[in-house]
Amino acid sequence: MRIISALVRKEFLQIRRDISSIIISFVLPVLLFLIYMYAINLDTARLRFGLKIDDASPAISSLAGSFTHSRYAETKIYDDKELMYGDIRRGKINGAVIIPNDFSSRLKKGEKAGILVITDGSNANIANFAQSYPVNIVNGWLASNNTAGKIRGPVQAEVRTWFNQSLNSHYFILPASLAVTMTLIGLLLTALVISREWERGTMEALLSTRVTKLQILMGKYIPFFILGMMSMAFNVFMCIVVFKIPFHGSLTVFTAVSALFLLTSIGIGLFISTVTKNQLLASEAAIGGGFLPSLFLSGLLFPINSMPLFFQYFTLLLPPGHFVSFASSEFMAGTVWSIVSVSSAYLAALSVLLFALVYKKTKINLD
Amino acid sequence: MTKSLNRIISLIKKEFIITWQDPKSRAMVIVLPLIQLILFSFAITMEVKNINLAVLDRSGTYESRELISRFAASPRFKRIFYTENERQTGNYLTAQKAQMALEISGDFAEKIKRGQTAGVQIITDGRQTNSAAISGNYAVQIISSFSAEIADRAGKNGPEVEARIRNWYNPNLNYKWYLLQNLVTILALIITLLLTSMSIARERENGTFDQLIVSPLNAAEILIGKTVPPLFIATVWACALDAVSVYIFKIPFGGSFFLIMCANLASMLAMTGVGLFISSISRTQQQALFGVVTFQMPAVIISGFISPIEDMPKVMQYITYLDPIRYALRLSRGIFFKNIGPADMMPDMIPLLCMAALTLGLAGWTFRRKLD
Repeated sequence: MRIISALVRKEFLQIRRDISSIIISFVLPVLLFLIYMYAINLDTARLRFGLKIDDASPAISSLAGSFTHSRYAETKIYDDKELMYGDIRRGKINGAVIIPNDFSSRLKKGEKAGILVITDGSNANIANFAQSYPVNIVNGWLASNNTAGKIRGPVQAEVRTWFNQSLNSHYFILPASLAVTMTLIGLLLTALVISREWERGTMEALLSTRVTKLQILMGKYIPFFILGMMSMAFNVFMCIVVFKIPFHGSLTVFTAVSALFLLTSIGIGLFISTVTKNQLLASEAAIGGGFLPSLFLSGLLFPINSMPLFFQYFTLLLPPGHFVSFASSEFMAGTVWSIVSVSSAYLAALSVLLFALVYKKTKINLD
Repeated sequence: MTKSLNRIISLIKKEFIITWQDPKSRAMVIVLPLIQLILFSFAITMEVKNINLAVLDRSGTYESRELISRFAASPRFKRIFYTENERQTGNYLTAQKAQMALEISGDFAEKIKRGQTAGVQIITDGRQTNSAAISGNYAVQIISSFSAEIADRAGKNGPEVEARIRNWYNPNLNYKWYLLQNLVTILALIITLLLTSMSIARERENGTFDQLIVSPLNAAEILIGKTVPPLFIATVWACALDAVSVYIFKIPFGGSFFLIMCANLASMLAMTGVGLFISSISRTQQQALFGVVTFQMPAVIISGFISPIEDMPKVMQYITYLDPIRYALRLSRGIFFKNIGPADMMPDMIPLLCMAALTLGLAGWTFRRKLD
C-alpha cells in the first residue's frame, strides 16, 4: 500500500510539473463545449439561395418577399441566369430557384404550377436541406396568398417529440459529446505514461526495485482515474450549470457509469502505452485510433440505428457508443434501467478485460 | 550551394528512415487510415433508416390498416410492433426498442368518410434529436401523400405547386460520394499532423535537437529537411486515397489530376506547417500530442463537413477562416465534382499558402532563436 501511494504521489508530481495534463483535462473540454454549442446545429440550417423570377405578374412580388424574409434562407435575387449558375459553381450560393413565366397564370387556372430548384450536390449534406426549403417556402406563400385557400387534407399528422419537446439538438449533443471528450482525455492522459518510462529508461530503474507489476499498474491507474473523474465532474458541471442542459437523471447513477466508462478509456490508453513502448507510436495510435472512431461511430453525429447491421454490432464493441446512448437518456429521460444495466454491464466487463490485457502485456523483465 | 543541398538531402534521408524503418510505424501511417476509410464509408450515413415503429391502432379499420401498410412499405422503416395501449407504446419508446410511435384514434375511418380531418399522432424520441427530426419528416410525408390520395379519390384538391428538383454534381444526392470525398481529405490531413507534430518535440526530448543545432545546418536547411519528407509522404498518400475512392468506390471524378495534386500539395503544406509549429513550441512529446488534439478536434468539427458553415453564428464563421481543413475540403470538393479551374481555386489556395508560410516561418524562427 505504501509503495502504491508513493507511486501515485510521483505520478501527481509529474502531472504538476508539466501542467499540460491539467490543461487537457479542463481547458480542452471548455473549448469543445463552445464548439458543440455554437458551431454544430444538426436540425435546421440557414442556407443561401439565388432566386430568379421569370414571371412578370404583380401577384408574384410577394413570393420574392417570402424568400427574402424566410428565417431559413438568405436569398439573393438574380436577373442573369448564367451569373446565378456561376455562383453555385463558385460555392457562393447553396441552391437556386427559378419561377417560370407561366407560374401565376397556371395557379390562377387551378393547374399544377412548376418551379425549378437546383442545388449544389457537391455537398450532399447541405443539398438535402436545400432541396426542401424552397418547396416549403412556396407552399407557405401559396397557403397564405391563394384566394381559394388551402383545403385541409383528410388526414393530418400531428408530431410530438418525447423527452425533448423543443427538439433542441444541444440537449442531445452536449451530454453525448462527453463520450468523445472523455474517451480522448482518458486515452491521451495515459497513452504516453508507460511508453515514456520505457523510452527514458526510468522503467528499468523501477524494475530493479522490489515493486510488483500490480503496484506499477495501480500507480498508473489511480492518479489518472482521479484526474479523469475530476475532469468528468467539471464537464457535467459545465453542461448542467453553465450551458443549462436539463438533467432528469440521477447524479449517482451518472457518476457510477461515468467511472466505468473512464476506466475503459484509461485501460485502452495504458494498453496502447504498454504495447508500443515508444511515445511516437503511442501518439500515432492514440490520435489515429481514438478521435475519429469515437466521433463517427458513437452515434453522436451519425445515427447508429441507420448503419448496416454488421456495423451496428461493431459499434456495440466500442465504449463511446454505450456512453452516448446512456448519457443522452440519463439527461433527457431520467434513469432507464434497461439502458443503464446493459451499458454498465458491458463497460464493467470491458474494463476488467482491458486491465487483464494491460497486466498481461506489461513486461517486467528486460527483453 | 551544393554543400547546402547535400546537407539538406542527408537530413531528408534521415527523416525518411526514422518514419519508415519501424514496421509498426509504417503500418500506423498506411494501414490505419485505409481501415478507417473503408470502415467509415460503409458504416456512416446521414440518412435515417431501419426505424422501428410502435403502432397503436385504435381504429382497426380498412383505412387505418392502409395507412400502416404505407409505413411498412417504406424502405426507411424496418419493424412494426403493434401495441395494446399507451403504456406499452411508451415502454417501447423509453427502452429505445422503437424509435417512433404512431397512434390512430378510434374515429379515424369515420371522420375520413364524413369528409372531416382525421388526426394521426406521431411520437418521436427526442433523445436522438437529429434522427427524431428527420424521421418525423418522413412520417409527415407518408401521411400527407396518403392524405392527398384520399382527397384525390374524393375529387377535391386545391391549387398545387410542383417542384422539379435538380441536384447538380450529384444527381441522386448519394451521401457516400460526399462522405468519402471529405474523409479522404480529413484522413490525409490527420496523417500529416501525425508525421510532423512529434518530429521536433521528440528530438528535443531525446536531446538530439541540440546536436542538430550545433551541426552545420542553418535554420532554413533544418526547416526544409523537416518539411519535405512528411509533405512528400502525405501528398502521395492523399493522391492514393483519392485513387481508392475513384477506382474502388467509383466516385465520379470530374476534375483534372494535375489540379487535385496541386490542391493536395497546398493543403498538406499548410498542415505540415501547423504540425511543425506545434512541435516546435512543445518541450515534450506529450505536449505535442496534446497540442495536436487541441488543434485537430475543433478543426475537423468546424470544417463544414459535419455542420454547414453557413449556419454558424457570424463569429464562428470568421473563426472557420483560420481552419485549413475548411479550405482543403472546399478545394477537393470543387475539383472532384465541379471541375473548377485554377481561377476558382484561388480563394481557397491563397489562404492555405498563407497559413503554410506563417506556420513554417514561425517554426523556422524557433530553430534560429535556439541557434543564437
